Amino acid sequence: MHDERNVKTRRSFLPSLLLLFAAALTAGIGLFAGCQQEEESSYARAFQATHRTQLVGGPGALGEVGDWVMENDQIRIVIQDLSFNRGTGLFGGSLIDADLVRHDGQGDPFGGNGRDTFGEIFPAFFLEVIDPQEIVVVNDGADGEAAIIEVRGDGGEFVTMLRFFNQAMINAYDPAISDILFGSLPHSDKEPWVQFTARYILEPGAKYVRIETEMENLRNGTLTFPNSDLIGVASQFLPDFDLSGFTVPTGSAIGFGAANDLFIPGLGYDIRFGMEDVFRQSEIDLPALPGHLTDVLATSSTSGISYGYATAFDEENNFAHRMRDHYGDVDANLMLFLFEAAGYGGAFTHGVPEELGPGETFTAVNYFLLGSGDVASIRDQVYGLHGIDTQTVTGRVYDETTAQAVGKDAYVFIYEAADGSCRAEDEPTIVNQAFTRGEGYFQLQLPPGQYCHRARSGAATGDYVPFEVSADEPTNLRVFAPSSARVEAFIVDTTGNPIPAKMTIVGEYDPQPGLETRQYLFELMVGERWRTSESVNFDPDDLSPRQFIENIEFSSADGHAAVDIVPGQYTAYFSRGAEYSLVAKEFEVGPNGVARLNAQLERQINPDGYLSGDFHMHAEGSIDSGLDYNDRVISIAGEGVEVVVASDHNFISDYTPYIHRNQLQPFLRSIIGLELTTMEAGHFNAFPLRQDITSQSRGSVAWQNIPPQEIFDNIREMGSISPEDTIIQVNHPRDSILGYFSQHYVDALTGVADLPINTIPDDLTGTDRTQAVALAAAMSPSGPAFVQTDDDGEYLKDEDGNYMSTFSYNFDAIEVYNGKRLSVLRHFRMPPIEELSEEAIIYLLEQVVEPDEEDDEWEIDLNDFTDEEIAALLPTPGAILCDGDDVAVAGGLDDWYNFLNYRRPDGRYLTYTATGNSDSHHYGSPSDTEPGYPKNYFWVGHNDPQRMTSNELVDALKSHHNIVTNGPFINMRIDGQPIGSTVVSTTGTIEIELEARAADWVVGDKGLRYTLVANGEFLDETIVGDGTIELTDRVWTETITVDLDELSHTHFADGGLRDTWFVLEVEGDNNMFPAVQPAEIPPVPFDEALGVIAEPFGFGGSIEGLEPSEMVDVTPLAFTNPIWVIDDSAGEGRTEFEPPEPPKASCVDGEPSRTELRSLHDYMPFGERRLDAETVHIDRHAHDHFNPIQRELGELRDVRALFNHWHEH
Amino acid sequence: MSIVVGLLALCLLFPSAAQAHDFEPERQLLVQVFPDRVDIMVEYLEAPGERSAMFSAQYLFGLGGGADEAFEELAKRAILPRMLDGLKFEVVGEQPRTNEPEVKIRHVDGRLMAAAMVTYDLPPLGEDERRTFAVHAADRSFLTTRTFIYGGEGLTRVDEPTGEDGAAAAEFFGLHRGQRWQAVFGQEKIE
Repeated sequence: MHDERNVKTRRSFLPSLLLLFAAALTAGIGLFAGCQQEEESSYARAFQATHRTQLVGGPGALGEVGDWVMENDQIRIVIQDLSFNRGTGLFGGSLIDADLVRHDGQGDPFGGNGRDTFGEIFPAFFLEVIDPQEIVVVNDGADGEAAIIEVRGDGGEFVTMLRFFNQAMINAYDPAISDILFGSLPHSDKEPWVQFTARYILEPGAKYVRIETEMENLRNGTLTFPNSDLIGVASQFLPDFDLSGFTVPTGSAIGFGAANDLFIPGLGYDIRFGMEDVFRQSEIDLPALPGHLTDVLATSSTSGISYGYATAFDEENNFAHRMRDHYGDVDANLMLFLFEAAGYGGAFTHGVPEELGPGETFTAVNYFLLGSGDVASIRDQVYGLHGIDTQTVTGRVYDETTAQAVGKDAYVFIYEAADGSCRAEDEPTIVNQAFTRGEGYFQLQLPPGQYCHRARSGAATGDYVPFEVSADEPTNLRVFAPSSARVEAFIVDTTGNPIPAKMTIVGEYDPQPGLETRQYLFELMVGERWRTSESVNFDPDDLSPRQFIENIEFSSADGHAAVDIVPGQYTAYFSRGAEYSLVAKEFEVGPNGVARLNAQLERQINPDGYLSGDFHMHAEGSIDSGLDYNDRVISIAGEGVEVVVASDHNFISDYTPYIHRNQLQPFLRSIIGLELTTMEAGHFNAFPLRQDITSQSRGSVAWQNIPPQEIFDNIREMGSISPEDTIIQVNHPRDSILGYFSQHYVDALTGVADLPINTIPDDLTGTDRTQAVALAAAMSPSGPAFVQTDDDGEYLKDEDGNYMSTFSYNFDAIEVYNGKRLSVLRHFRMPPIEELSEEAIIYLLEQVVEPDEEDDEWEIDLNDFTDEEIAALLPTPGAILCDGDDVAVAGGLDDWYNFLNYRRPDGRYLTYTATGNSDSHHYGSPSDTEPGYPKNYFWVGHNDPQRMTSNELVDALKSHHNIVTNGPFINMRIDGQPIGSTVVSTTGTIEIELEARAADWVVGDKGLRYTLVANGEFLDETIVGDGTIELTDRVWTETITVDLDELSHTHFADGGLRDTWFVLEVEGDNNMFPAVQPAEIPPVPFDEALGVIAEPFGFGGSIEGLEPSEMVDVTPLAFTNPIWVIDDSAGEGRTEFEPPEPPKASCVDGEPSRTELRSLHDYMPFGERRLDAETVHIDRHAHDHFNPIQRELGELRDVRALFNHWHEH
Repeated sequence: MSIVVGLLALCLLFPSAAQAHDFEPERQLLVQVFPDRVDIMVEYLEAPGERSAMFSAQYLFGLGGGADEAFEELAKRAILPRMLDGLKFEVVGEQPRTNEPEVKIRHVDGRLMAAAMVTYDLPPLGEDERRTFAVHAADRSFLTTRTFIYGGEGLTRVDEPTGEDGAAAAEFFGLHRGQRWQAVFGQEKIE
């Protein structure tokens, strides 16, 4: 009788032995593979994916079954099918995923394990893109030749506001000029005049895709570029619109993704300020365009993948070469780089011929390249494609102090030294970058010539060292990199338990007169991190030492934080959000030294029954973030946020697995959500949602050309509780092109949305009216996302003949306060005159002073006016400034007050919950907002984030029981009822209880002050005194008794009703540095990036000093949601609040008016704009993700227990 | 068989240049010093990529999708030297007897993960006596090791001052190659 188990073992053992032998053989080969890999035969394939394993995996992978795959023995790319765009573009057909072919790098049902971090690339014909109608495999590669896929389609609008602009340039379809002149809104579905094709060609063995873009004239007649008919019409309205000699450019929009650092020869990694300098110094005018000429765009990343873009030599059609009268004698392989914003860059490569006859085509050839992580692996290929002879340069990088070889991923920078000089003051031109491999070795190709190199293996970059590359033999370099220092810290709470927290390393520098810190304290060109200064409000003449942030790191649940810094003397600040203390530790550390620090943080406030939440957060799922989910949750917990809503752009993320993986569950609870991101019709957060793991975007929904109500309905269907219990939050509503209220033209004084074509003043007549109508029709957003349509797609009009807006009021919350963007918090008020520039004063005087009609050269001379005259002529400081018929710069808080004051146009009184969120995208980055600044305190009745349910969050927000703050906790009760309540007063007298709590460092020595807002007006001093808040043991309370009759300066509803809503606002003046960084880096919003193209044509521009400052120190600011008080002193049993409906204000046509929305105590110099479009270098670093101390709060387990339970982690 | 395992172990120990851009492996060391023993746990997360995939494929999941007991044992033997590479433990002035290491292994998110546990038995520590534990990382050690040293059963660190910022009950450090760290334990409490 044999033993069954033994037999089974033996039977499995034999094949296993064979397997093992095979493995050994493989391993033996693998041992030598580091030097020489067996060369596989080259091939190329193109096919439509039928299974996810055929796709490209990785953190940025968006490919889906049904998409189109091209692969060879080197690379694999994915072109998305004709679905709605799963990235941030509009249409399918774009290249969305790309990676090198890897042993384990393929897609899988959960996203795959490749390394795709690429965003998206699609051809741009001026600003027109392809609306694909078909995708065809032209050659599948079975014949051993190149695989070819074609995407064919009509013209499509990337941004509908540019529809006319595109028509003038590209002739994609019948522009229906007469319709526009008569005020008919344009369509994009007229008869196509041009067919567009993007042809992707992948050769066997190539690490690049050749992209041929083609325009074919479909008409019987000749097409001119630009369209001469349209230009003729436009020039009647826009006398300065002169396009004579203009060559219409084509190129690509490229979203490299925020996980990749863009490098451009000449600019290095400093795209942001490098481009600013380019534009500032540019003397290029139409018909040429300003920009930076380069032969390559390349990214670098330590994750082992880099991406690049280059254009083919084209003597005939290269854009810059054709315009060489303006750009100089440039080669025919250069492109004009225009901008990078929100993760996207734009480059023009070719110029369209002036004419295309019937059936004629125009073709442009460009390349999309993949490398192994550094710029050099891209440039090496571009040299080959451009036929440039090169020589091999190898080298090894050593630590400057120890002379030991550095590890991998040290930076080596290559500069051109035309005259052999490598002096810093000669500003050699940066041209290349390479990473070291494991033992400090690097290799790249360079054309023969004179160069300099520099290196960085930690925090500091070394000096320039000259070297020469000869044509005859390879060059070998011995490179030294400055040594770094390291700080390691252990952070605990008052019970001795490790906690997630933030460590901010702060140093001192001596300011240099007339220079910005980026010009001497750090080098953005070589990708050094920005060092934020302690304040943006320095007196330029004060040269005393200032503080700066050297680096930031977070501890996870293990309390451990470690970071590399430049050797020196510093103070480490330890913090954990605005509820905990701030602890400072001074230290000094030398080259290769390690400073070890301990810190204990005290929880100084813990509001009973409230949890703190940040409902707007980005990570890996967002093209403009790319932040590893582990780092995301660690940095959120480190800032003391207890509840977070994951809200990636068009991607439904769930942080819960990462919270568990990092054992942060006692500290942080996450809610699944989404930021539905349209191109130009608003951003909307939705939560709590279901995550659909069978979908590559995890269940995100289409938004392209869909009206808001349908979008709301669709995302409510993804709600995890029910559609009704899904919160729709309108994000940053007054963001320029990304704001729902801005793009739908919500009146900043009434809260009513209407289309510009409907709001042309009646008193405008004749040519002026025609011009206004044509401009409104041609240059405002249009299409079904903005204008209601019938089943045939025709625009609908109401009984008055007005187009019908699609704006929907059916949302739940408004993100009134976003990040550090105080500039869009309140409507912009007239600053004090002494703060205005001379240019701004002259501009304002020009609006009100009658010009001397007989003097052609008449202009305002300030010497002709006394200070008193100027003060009398200019708007009163504190008044809302108008620009034409609109408020110049609108803010979400004033919008929200309008909504509280007025019924909607359909008669409903809708109340929205105000929220405040960080909209954080990065990890300890100076260009970003810290998670939790601002945040929300919402009522759940307990203080345990672990046991909070989604229903509790939804209940709190639906009942408006929410407080918005960037620091202090504040609260208010009226007649004992909490925030969000509706209180019925039968006496006409109410009792208001006020409360504030704050940690010591939040308030500093500057104190806090408060004000009460009633029906949109501040209560005056007779009721609230001077508003000073005196904290005792970090707590302040006060009770005020208010007779509703005393509120005579507020607006009341008709009929003598004194119904009033109350909001508590609290502010302070303490700069919360270094726990909260000042907003020091001006942003590049997407619309301004597009403005780079529009500005040469005479559009855009602003007057300095007449818009909110973009740079601010962060000081305490908090406000509550309202309590509504119904006046039932007459004893009528009233239960329904009657909104005050004050008389509606309006801007005076064409002039900055003195429109008073509500009185102000003082002029408040708010300012700052959203920072999510920054492109400064992002440190992607490896946090240790597995923590040994799995525990509940207050509990430590022993090592044996950890091991015994190890399988259960 | 031993040649095969040795070849594999050798292959695993030395990262090849082809993996210049791969993620690093990660290693963590937890030490708990008791009055009568020292418990040491090493947790090791292999870098994703070829090595993790090959290891898993050949040893763990190559046999009909499940781990075979005998091959899992082979896997543990192969991974243990890599886990402990360059680490050396010492209880100053004593020559403790070590027990057989226990090893656990699993495969998570495409990465091989292993934990090893070893206990050194020691003579009981008197009330006023001190015990010094040290750990070295050899120059050749290829990994920086996150190291945690705790006391257990009444022992606490006595060689670190406890300032107002509260030196914690636990101590951690990053153990870099060529470094030696030590901690002294006794019965005294942290104030």
